[in-house]
Amino acid sequence: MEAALSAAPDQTDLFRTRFTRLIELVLSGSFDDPDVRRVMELVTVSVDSED
Amino acid sequence: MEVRLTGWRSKNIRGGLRDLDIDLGSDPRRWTLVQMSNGTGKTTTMDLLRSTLTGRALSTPEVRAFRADDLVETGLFEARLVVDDRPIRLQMELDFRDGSVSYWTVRAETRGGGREEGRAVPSELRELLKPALTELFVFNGELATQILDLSKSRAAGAIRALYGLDQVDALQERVTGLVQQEVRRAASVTSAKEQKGITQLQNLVNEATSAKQRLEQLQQASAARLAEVSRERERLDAEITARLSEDAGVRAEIEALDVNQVEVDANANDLSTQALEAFRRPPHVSDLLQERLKTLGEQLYTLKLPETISREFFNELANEKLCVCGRPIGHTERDQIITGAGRYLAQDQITVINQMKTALRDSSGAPNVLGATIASLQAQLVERRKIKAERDRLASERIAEGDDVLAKLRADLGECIEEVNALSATLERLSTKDSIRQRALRVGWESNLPLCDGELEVRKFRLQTATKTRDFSEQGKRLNQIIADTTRRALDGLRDRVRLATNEKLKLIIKGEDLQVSKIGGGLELQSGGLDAKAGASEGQKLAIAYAFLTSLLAEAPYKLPFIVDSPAVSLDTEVRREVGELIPSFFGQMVMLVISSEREGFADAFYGRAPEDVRFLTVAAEGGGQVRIEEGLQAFRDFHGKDLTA
Amino acid sequence: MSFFLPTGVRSFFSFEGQRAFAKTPRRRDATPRFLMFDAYYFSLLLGLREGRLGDANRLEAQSFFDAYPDNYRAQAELIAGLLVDSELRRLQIGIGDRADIERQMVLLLDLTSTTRLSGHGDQLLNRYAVAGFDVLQDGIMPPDNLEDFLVAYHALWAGKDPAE
Repeated sequence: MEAALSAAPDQTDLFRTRFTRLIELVLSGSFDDPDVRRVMELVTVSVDSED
Repeated sequence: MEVRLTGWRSKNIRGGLRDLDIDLGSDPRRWTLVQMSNGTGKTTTMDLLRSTLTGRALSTPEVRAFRADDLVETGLFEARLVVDDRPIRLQMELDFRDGSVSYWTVRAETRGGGREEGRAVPSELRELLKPALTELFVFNGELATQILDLSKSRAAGAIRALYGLDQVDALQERVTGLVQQEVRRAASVTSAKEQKGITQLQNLVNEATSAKQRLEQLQQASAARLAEVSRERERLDAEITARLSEDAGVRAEIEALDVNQVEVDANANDLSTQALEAFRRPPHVSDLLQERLKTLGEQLYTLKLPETISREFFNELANEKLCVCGRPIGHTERDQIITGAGRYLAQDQITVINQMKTALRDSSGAPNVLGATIASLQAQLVERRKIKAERDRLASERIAEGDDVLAKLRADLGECIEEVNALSATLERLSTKDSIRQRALRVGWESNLPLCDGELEVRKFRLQTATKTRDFSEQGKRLNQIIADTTRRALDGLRDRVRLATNEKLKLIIKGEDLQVSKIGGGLELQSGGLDAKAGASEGQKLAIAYAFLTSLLAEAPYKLPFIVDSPAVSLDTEVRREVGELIPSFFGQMVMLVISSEREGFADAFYGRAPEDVRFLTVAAEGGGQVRIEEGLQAFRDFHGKDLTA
Repeated sequence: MSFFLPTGVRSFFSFEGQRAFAKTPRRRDATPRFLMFDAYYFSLLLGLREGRLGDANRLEAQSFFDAYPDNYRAQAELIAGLLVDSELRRLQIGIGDRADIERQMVLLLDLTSTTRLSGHGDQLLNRYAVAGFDVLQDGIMPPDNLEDFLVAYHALWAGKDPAE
């Protein structure tokens, strides 16, 4: 099963690839903290200067 | 992955399950019908199967409720599976005495083929044996219609379970957990992770940066001014000298003073060098010290310290056969020598004391020489002061004679010197790196450059940490958003596919009515020819829909699971039964159906005509006293007149 | 082992790094260099004279030198001797008390050490320096040049008030 992984369009290709892989790992039950952390670091966020 | 059920057995369980073993063979046929009368444990078997497959915890009353009679102490239920051609047996052991349950696994991989404690199932299989999913393929037919019930969110839950979407929830929790970890880590540096806090930290950095700039400017300015003022001082000195020298007589005096000055300075240097040399040798410093050193030396001689004979001498002697005096050394003598040796000093202790003795003996000082040197030095210092006083006197005389220019020059010089001192002090406060000096001058980071640098670094580091933490937190939130988005889309996609597949099947089963699933929400929403018809669907129709949904759901999965169903058609009327009996089975892979005798008509008999290699008929007949008899084959199946044992 | 400066010595002599009397503008002529070890030693002698041990907590946290500098190496045995002498006085060990004298010497001396002293001996030296520095501070104002200091220090040994 590969669900439609139409992830957010504002992210990089690298992120998309790693994210897809992470989901695969999650579904097979073999994911680990460092994997999650790496994907988190790849997320591009625009931080507003005001809250 | 393909999972098939190859049989089950039970021991010491109530109902007809005291001693039952159903063997479907290592390559079971596609469809198996097991006829069991009510009371022979049909429902219990399903229950036990589900529990064994999911490994769920049972309460003490639940355990004891399975007990066949008061005499038995333990009970067993075993489910036999074959997973991609690998056999695996899952066992549930019940201890009726203490009401506990334990799970065991028997696998081919286990050394010796023995059983292991716990459920040692491959991880993929473990995912499938979750309760939410297991109750779909070990299915209670009487509850099929609950799938339609919107208030019981079985349908959506089933999809989520089957496709592992609940694991993705776990992922989101992990993400949140990692952010929290990071926040905790950063908290030791600073607690500002939100924007307000970060702005504050940025302000602090800015404050320190401008302080540093300010101090640097002040330092530069002070250094420049100091250079300027020092030059001015030299200039004034020169001018004063020049002015004084205008008078030939004064000039001569000044020159003489200069010559003197040079001589005095040179002498002072020589003398202080000599004095320092002398000071560095204790016997020269004073009579007192010299006395003490001499006395100590004499004392050591008088006391004959150290002894010339050492411990080593005696230890070596003890190893000889003859003493130095010629007498033989036996055991007794040896022991005494060694004991006695302890009384003496070791060789290197002796050596160092001897060295000291020698030094003391050779030490001779001449404190009076130092005294003389110091006296001479003092004289030179006096002389130096005199020369300065002379210069001052010459200048004062001229001023007294009305030399205003000279007076002014002297006054300016005085101011200059004051300013030099002030600037030196300022520069010291600004630049000293010595922490003891810093404390003594009571400077802080706002007035001392090295300290300011340090403070700036610390503040920058805090800001950086907080920003990083804040960014990481945002990244975590965004990732969870993306994950939620993704799963929502996935779920929607799946729901739709399953819905369409279900509807395809419905068209085949329920002819004459255009009954379709319009939406899969918590339950299944239906419409018929444009109208919401759920309320009006018959029991049969509901059942058909439920099966259509289940097959579509399970068929979409990348796993093939057996479909074990209890009383699949009992509530249907005969005609619908027939339809269900004819169509549904072809939608599944392996099917195991537990039926009661009254379901034969219409449903079971739809199987009579199928190829024998595809169907197996088993009949479980009660024999009384909890014993059962298993009969094989179509004939027995058809002919069975079940006595419905009331529970 | 190592030499530790009593706290306060650095600021007393206005040491900026290794340079003493740093507040005074440097004269271009060849005034002899006053070492940090000199500051230590000058304090030490006074402490040994007084026979008092100062508080170990009033020493700097890190040693400033690990052995005798060149100018002092030859004095190692003599300084060791002065230490032994001061300790015998402090512990009131009598002239004829051979065994006790021997015991003290064994405790304080070590052939293998460049200072000729055991670790215990080194630490005692540091504590005598603390006491000696107190005497120094009581008797002399913080000097801003070497010559004035030498004259004033000598006066402390002459037993008179330092000459003005």
